[in-house]
Amino acid sequence: MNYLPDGEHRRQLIAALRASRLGVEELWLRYFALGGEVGRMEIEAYLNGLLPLSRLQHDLIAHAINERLDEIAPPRAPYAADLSDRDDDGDPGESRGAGTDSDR
Amino acid sequence: MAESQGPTPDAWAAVFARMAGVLMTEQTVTTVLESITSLAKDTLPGSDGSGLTLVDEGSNRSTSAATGPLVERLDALQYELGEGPCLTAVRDSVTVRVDDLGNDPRWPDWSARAAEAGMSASLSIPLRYAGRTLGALKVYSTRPHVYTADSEDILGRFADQAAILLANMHTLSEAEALEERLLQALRDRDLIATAKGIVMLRENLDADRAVQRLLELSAQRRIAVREVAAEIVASTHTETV
Repeated sequence: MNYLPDGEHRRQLIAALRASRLGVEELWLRYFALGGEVGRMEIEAYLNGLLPLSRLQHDLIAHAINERLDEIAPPRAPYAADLSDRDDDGDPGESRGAGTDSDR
Repeated sequence: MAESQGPTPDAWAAVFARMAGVLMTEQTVTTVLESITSLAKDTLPGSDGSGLTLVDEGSNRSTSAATGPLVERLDALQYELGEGPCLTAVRDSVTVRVDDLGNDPRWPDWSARAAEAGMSASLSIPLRYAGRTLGALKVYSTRPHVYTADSEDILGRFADQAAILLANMHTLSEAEALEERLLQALRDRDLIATAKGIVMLRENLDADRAVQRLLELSAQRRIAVREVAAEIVASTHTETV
């Protein structure tokens, strides 16, 4: 069940990669850190539309790009809930974690 | 003049052997720079001090080393005043020789201060490697007219070797940075694989779906997968204790 983005999907992927300013080398390292399984050559071939990859490998590439985009994104304004979280226990990360657990 | 003789080929061999030894035994940039300045001072007889400045792409001073506080101060002063023989050597990538600081009109502010501090002559050589100027190496003397055309040639050859060492030292520290990043990538990957296993058991998912779940959590909360994984791994401690 391999996947090779074309048309609008491919355009979006390439646009995001360009915005992330990641080179193939750096992208591969981040993808690898996330648990990606294919090599640098395959990533390059995939980005050039030459080699299909599984949906999971695609998502890991996309996620590596998106994490980078979050890192370099301008700061975001906090919501009221974020601010009161901090007043409650001084650790917003912890309380948000509890919120996600209760979703399950 | 005895000074213009320069070191014999044997002495050069010893100097370069010491430089190579530096690369192998001492890894810190500062130590290497200090060794180069100390060697430069010994290489040109009559020198009372030596300094080295590395610059970034915009010719701004980035790192420096000197054989003593006076040399360090005179070098720093050049960058504060925006003038001086070393700055000229870096900017124009040329050798700059000053025979008598008290009678040299080229850098009026700096020369006056340097002469006041007791310096009389200086020789500054750009450090060039692969078409780029990395910085400058200079020697100072408290006596005028110490340096000659031969001194320029000798310090020039010394600077060529120093530049090769410095350029490769740079590559070396980049390689170390890459190795550190590779190790970090491996640590992250291991952490995420552990979290994947925990999610597979907890939520009864296959391996691929467990990874998808981690990606979803990361995207929803706008935090890195690494952090999601760290929380999940940490949560097993509190459960079992």
